[in-house]
Amino acid sequence: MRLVIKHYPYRYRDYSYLAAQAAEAARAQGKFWEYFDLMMHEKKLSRDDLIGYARQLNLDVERFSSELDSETHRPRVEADVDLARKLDFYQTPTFVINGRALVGGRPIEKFRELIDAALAESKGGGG
Amino acid sequence: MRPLLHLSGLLLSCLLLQSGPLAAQPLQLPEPLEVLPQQDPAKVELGRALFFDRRLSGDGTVSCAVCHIPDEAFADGQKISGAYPTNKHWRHTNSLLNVGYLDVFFWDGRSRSLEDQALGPIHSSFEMNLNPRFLVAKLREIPEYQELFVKACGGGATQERILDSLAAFERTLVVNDSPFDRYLRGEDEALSAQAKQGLEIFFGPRGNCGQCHSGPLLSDQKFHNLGVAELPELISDPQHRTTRNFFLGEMGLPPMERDPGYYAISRREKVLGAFRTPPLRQVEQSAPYMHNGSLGSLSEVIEFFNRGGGEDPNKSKLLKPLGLNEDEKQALEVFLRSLSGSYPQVRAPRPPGL
Ligand code: HEC
Ligand code: HEC
Repeated sequence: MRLVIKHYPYRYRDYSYLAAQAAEAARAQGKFWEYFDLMMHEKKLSRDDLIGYARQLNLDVERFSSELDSETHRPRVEADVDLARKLDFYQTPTFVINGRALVGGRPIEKFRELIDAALAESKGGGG
Repeated sequence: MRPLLHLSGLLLSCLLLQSGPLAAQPLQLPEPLEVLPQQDPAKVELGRALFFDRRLSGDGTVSCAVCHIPDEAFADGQKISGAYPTNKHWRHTNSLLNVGYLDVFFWDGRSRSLEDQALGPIHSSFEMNLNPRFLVAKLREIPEYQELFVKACGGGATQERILDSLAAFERTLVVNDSPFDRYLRGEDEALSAQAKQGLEIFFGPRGNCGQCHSGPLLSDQKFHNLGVAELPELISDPQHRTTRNFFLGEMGLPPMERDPGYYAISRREKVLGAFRTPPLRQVEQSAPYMHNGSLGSLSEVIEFFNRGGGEDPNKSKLLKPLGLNEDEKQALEVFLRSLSGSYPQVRAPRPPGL
């Protein structure tokens, strides 16, 4: 099983594009998940906050800040946004489990149901 | 088991499963759902386009279908409904199946027609957040919409025509072919023996559910306090609090640490925390349950009623601990699942003008 995260920064929020790019800048240094979890936990997302998290995780802060300021990772974030629009997804969070979409924070049972169904299907298909 | 006696389609003898003093009481079953009047197809088509159109929201991301998802019995599967981006809601989304039969809308009954109801979400700051007059202006600039309006209503976009068409579309969202419906129409074999046992519990003295879940819709459309507990996050989270207290202010009430339910409309202390009895068709598909989605499954709902409901000074006197055994609980759940049938599989049309 594989978990893939796609960015969907809300277009009218001050920091959401910045935060998505910061997560990518952390990925470039191999710490996407640690960075993602820290951001979700702290919730503050200004440039200074984002650089502060990079420092906390012992990332190369100079490289991180320069990638953030020069928007090095913006194309990757925009590609995710384009993909979401193509699939007609506009809400966060949206989960897609083997092609079936779950919009919003759903009860855990619903995830179990879809994951079990996907597992059963993949067994049935001989994969 | 012997088949149940079916008397004139409505009365059922319940001698079979029970003995004792109550056993001889005949079971009162509802009339079958009547067929709703045919809606004008052009209006339904326009209503469907509007229902799926994200341009009905301030930021162009929220349509009715975002919260009333066609594949999920037109509910949204979340405890607390989704909301306008960056905001939080405070109530659970109702299913829209069979809303065409209702006279009283929303958990607190604050609307009395589908046309009136549909204005609520468009205008609401935490749902679609669009000034309806601005919506009319937007739609008038989209030639394809103009055509649809002329065909359906004989003239261009107006607020009234938008609401009429949404309502016409919603009236087509009907379920009336569930095994229970077929049974009411006289197909004795439509329900399994276990479902029939559940039906007896539901309408008979063992469960007494039919006191409130009465009539063809399985709702008296009245308000009852069951003592459903508040969700802690609705009390602690500032965004949920904002929405609740804003809503209360709009209703002319001071901030409160709870959902007042029907009290917000009637102002009688007795109905603080009372909610409209929900209709139950397709209920297996619209988990989680209750006005705040706090019960996750049908078996949790049955446990809840078996305990005699929750805790509340205003709790309905109609609720008593039932003492159902495992067998009876199972049967009741099987009966609730027999309320599922088929409903129109509507898809989003291509958005007019896009
Ligand atoms: C942001 C989510 C959201 C959107 C968007 C939304 N609804 Fe709802 N809907 C809800 C919730 C939540 C309730 C219950 C609210 C309450 O009782 O206070 C509800 C209730 C209803 C009801 C009442 C059903 C009943 O059993 O009484 C109808 C009808 C309805 N919505 C139709 C619509 C229509 C038509 C639209 C689009 C114009 C729409 N909704 C958009 C969340 C939404
Ligand atoms: C006193 C009236 C009353 C009785 C008796 C009653 N109900 Fe209800 N029922 C309600 C009300 C009101 C609600 C919604 C309460 C809320 O949201 O706070 C409800 C909710 C439900 C729901 C959740 C539906 C949804 O869409 O969220 C189910 C399922 C249900 N009842 C089944 C039953 C069963 C089974 C029984 C009998 C064991 C029963 N009810 C007895 C009034 C009643």
